[in-house]
Amino acid sequence: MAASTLTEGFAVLLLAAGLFFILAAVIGILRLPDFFTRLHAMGKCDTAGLSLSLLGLALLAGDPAVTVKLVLVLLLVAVANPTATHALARAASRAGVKVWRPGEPAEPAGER
Amino acid sequence: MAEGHLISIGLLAAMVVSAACALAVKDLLTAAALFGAFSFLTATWFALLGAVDVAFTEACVGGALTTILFVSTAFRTGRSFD
Amino acid sequence: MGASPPPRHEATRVRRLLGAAAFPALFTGLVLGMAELPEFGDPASPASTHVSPRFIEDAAAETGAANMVTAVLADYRGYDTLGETAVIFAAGLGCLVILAAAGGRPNLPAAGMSHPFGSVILDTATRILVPVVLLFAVYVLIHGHISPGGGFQGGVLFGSGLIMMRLVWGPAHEGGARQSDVPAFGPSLRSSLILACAGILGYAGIGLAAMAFGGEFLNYGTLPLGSDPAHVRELATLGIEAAVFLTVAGTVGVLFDTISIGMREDGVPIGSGRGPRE
Repeated sequence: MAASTLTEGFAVLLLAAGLFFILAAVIGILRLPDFFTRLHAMGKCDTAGLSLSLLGLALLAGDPAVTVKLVLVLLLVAVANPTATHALARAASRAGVKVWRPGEPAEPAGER
Repeated sequence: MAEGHLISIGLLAAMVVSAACALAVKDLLTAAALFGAFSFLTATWFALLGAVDVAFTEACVGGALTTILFVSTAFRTGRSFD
Repeated sequence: MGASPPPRHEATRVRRLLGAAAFPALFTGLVLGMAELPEFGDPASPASTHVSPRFIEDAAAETGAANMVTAVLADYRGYDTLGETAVIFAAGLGCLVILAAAGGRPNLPAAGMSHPFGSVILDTATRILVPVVLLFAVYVLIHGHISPGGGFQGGVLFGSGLIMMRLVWGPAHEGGARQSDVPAFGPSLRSSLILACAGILGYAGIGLAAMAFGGEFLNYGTLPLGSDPAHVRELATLGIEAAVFLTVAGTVGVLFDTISIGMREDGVPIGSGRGPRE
């Protein structure tokens, strides 16, 4: 079963990469100075991490129906997640959330 | 079984924490977001217990709908609760 | 009330005394009642020895629904579900009545929700996502016989699709075409209310139809929909689920519209007595 082992290894690689991106997103949310930079970290890394994880799971799923469903979820995430990030950024920009400039003190997480 | 227990305990602890935080924070939007997190944890726990239908309903209603309604209500009534 | 009603503070005191007496009595009664209930999860309780095995063994053959939850929810426990649906409908109605009774307050422009965002990205993504969400809602409704799902979940999903359109394109009939040159789409507040009413009336109507054909209320076996009783029950259950779907979707629309967008439809506050037809 060399093919299956190869598939499993590839899936594990994809899952690990996905977890890495999600970790990067979490660190970004905790460490970056203001709303927009945090959103920037979350929007991209979250989408990438979730997509890679879903791809890995789709490879691991034995049932083709589950694979198709996971790919559909992946497509949905690929459309919805960046759109949500865009909507958040646009709303924040319209609401006048201040943009951080280099040299200013960072806005602590969890406060406005 | 032991692993299931561990996940269950973790989920329940996170539920307690998110519920307490939702009660404690002053900002209603934050409270609504925390309540949404609580709903998703609840849905996950229901799914873990095997009640997939209930989990589905909880994810739809608690995670999405009531959060939207809470947020829109907060917009109408004012954000801060003192 | 006698010919000379007691002074107001007297009535208040009597009411308080009554309340003070009723609360311990009710509390004691409830606690005593709880003590008589079987232990939680007790395998020897009647529910575990008689009710559950019957549903598990016979539900699929009797109702044609492979998903036992749907069989119990819409068929065996049809009364319960009728009550639940009525509660949801009442919640939407209460919201509408209370917020409309609060008077024709103008829309709050700062709500952020009554204005379409006017963004090409949002507009395009919504055009892609909303049909998928609505289609998935109908799939959840129809597939509820086999997989998890049914009227409640499908209805909430459908309502979420409607809310998504409202969030991006603004309320129906009001300024939707103003900023993003997309015609406002989706039912208005009044249409949502009609949908919800149609749902709950349809539910009760299916029950009454079962009575008209010689069965009990909500006992669908007698409906003239075919010769196989399980198939008849399956179709009737689908009808019930569709009715629940309509009620939930309509109520979600009513709730969101009354709470977030305000009481206006056609630019006139509902409940102000100045509707377009008066």
